Amino acid sequence: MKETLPIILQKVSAGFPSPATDYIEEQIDLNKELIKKPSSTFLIRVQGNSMIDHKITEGDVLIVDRSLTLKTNSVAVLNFEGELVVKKIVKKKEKYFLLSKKNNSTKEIEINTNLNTELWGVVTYVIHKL
Amino acid sequence: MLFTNYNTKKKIIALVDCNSFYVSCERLFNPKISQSPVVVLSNNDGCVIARSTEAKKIGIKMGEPYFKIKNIVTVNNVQVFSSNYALYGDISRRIMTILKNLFPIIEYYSIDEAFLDLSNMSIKNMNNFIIDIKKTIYQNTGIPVSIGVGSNKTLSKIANHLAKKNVEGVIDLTKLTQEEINSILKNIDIEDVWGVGRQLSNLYKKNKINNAYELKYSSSSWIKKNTNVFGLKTVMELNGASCITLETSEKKKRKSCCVSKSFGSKVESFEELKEAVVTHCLNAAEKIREDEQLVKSVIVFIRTSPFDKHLFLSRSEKIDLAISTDDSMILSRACVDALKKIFAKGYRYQKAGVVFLGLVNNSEYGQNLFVDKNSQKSNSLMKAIDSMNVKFGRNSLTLADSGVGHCWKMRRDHSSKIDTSHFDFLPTVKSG
Repeated sequence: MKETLPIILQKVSAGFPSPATDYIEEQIDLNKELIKKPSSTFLIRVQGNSMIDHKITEGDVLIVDRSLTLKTNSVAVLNFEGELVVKKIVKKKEKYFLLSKKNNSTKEIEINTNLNTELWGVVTYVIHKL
Repeated sequence: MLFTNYNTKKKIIALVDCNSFYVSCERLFNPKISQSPVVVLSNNDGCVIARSTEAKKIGIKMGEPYFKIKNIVTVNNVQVFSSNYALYGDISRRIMTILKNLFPIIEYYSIDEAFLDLSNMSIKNMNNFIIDIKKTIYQNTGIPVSIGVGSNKTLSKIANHLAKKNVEGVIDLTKLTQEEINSILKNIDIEDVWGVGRQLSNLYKKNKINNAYELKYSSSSWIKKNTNVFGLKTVMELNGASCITLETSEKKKRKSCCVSKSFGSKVESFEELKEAVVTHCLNAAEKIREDEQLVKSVIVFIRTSPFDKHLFLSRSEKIDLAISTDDSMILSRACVDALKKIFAKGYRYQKAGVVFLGLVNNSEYGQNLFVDKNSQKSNSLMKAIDSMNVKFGRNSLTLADSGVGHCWKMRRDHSSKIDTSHFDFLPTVKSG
């Protein structure tokens, strides 16, 4: 094996070398890490605290990718009864259902364009300010 | 024969056109209005510039002044929006990016239309292929589009016109026989043919050319004599030749740049007018710097409302610059000089605008002997201003001349205030 020697960018001088020269690599770009498909990804702000069990609270920003399809346990934005809502999704027998909480009971409603429960996009990350 | 000068290799051109684009953008984050009549108003809430199918059905016309339809709006519960170009621009950019990634030869024709050259692709079933494009755009952006395919731009426009009325939203004319195409062209009114404007269609109608079919078989010598080269190209394209090439983004650069706005309330003082003109100038300067262009001359225009009972005034002034530049400070100085020449006291101004003319590419311009050292300094200053404005929103950093707290800003009473490209104006979703 051929050994390569690292190139030293820092001039040798008395005193401590600048720590800055250790970082020649590109910096982390959160856009690149968190948004795989920029053209189909939207940032959407959450209103309300009904998804607090799933760690989504008022004011959080969701990263939503429209190009993705539902998977078991997805969290998704849906067009539900004329409103955009964020919901937990469950899969049963190859069908997807949203969990709708009403009067302390949770109902499962099938996701289907005809039933006015259309998938809008799949949530990939939640940005939560502490 | 007419067509010998042109490439005879068969072209396949697709036109992708977003359906009621501005309305679709407003509906994207507001599904409640997906079935309601929706209209979008022009700058300053002046007149109707986009209508949903439902709004068309109840008789709202394109370009109608808003005050005239207020009654229809209330009776039919029409949803009214001020135009929100930040949102439309971002959605448009997404659609164009997706198309560009799929089809490298693309012409961005307008905010909601793009021509694609599919000639060199091996496509087995064109109909399925364009249905897939349509589905891809909808899945990724939520915007419905129509796609028309023909052997040139003119025919793809006609195909798209038909696709809008078709359930699938796509039409391919390339597999049809001459007879089939002719029977389609007979149903296309002359004013609906691409490139035939109002004047030209009046001329054609006077000469008994009332539809696309009659134009196709009109005498080419008559067309040559009575119209220009574009008139002739349209006729040739109706005959199946491909003469109007796609202006791909590499080639296409603007030759002029205009920024103008009507005032929310009438403006009378020179100071206020100056602020507006300088702000427009700075916005235009940012645009041309983004495209790496330089400006040769500037025009400033001001006018009062033609409907105002007070005195009417409409004036403009052109100033040629000694050296082509993209420097905001030089440009705004020129604009203020121009404004000084045309400003008159005692008028209630409704609109002011700035036009940059004689745009050239910065790289093509080459070295100028007269460029002094200051221009380099100013160059980096301009870059700094632009990047700050990208970060913190338009006009956050600007020249003092453009004023602060503009009271002449546009009227936008019905704006959805959503901007998918700005963190402070994101769309919202309810949790539940």
